[in-house]
Amino acid sequence: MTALHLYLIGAAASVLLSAILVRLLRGSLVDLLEELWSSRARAAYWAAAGAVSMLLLGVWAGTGTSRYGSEGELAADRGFFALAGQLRGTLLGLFIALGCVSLAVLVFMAGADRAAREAARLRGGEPHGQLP
Amino acid sequence: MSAASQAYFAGSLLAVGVFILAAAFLARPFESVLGDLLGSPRRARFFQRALLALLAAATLAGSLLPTGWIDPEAASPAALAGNAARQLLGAGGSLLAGLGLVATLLLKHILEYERRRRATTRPPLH
Repeated sequence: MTALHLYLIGAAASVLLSAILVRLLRGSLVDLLEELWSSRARAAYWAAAGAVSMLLLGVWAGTGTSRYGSEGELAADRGFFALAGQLRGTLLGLFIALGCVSLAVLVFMAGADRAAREAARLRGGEPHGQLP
Repeated sequence: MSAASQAYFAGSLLAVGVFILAAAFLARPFESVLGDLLGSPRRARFFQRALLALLAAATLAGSLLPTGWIDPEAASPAALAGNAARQLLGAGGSLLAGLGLVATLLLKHILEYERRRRATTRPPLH
């Protein structure tokens, strides 16, 4: 198997892993953002932006560097370990992307909660006995 | 594929098994503690999935050790077992580090939550 074949297999695995992660999280992300902003359109936009970021960062991390060297044919073992390295890169990229998206959602949530508390305070009905 | 590659593949599969086992134990408690803290099942569902995905990525990436950390030309059973043990150590270490981080963050949020609860609850009038 040539280096190009292995690289393409690794790239396909990167796309597949990223797509699985996006598929797993997109629905619950849209629901959460809709709850925060009370608007399906805004939620769909930001969820799509988050999904594309995760997909691109995962694929970029998995395909950005070639670990196969410049030789055409590779020994089976060397190719296998290089493919494992490509998958490791994809997983680390997805880890970073997911961490960033989760952090951004946490910041949005804190902002929305603060705005709701402020609105309740201005209305004069401070929610004593309830959590902010 | 050589014996070293096959053992490496088996080590990665074992790491996936370890993660599935951990996720089976953790999924429900994560959802309930997050629902309690964040006050909404939608928020809890998203963060439960995100945390499990983060732990899965960390565990699997931890098991895919670079060739400098294992012997890529191992052939004897002892050397192969050593490679697999290192892979499991990498996976388990990543999983434990991730769990430790999550536990620390949750504890911080729980303490903050309790502090706010005490601050917003009026003392009874006498």
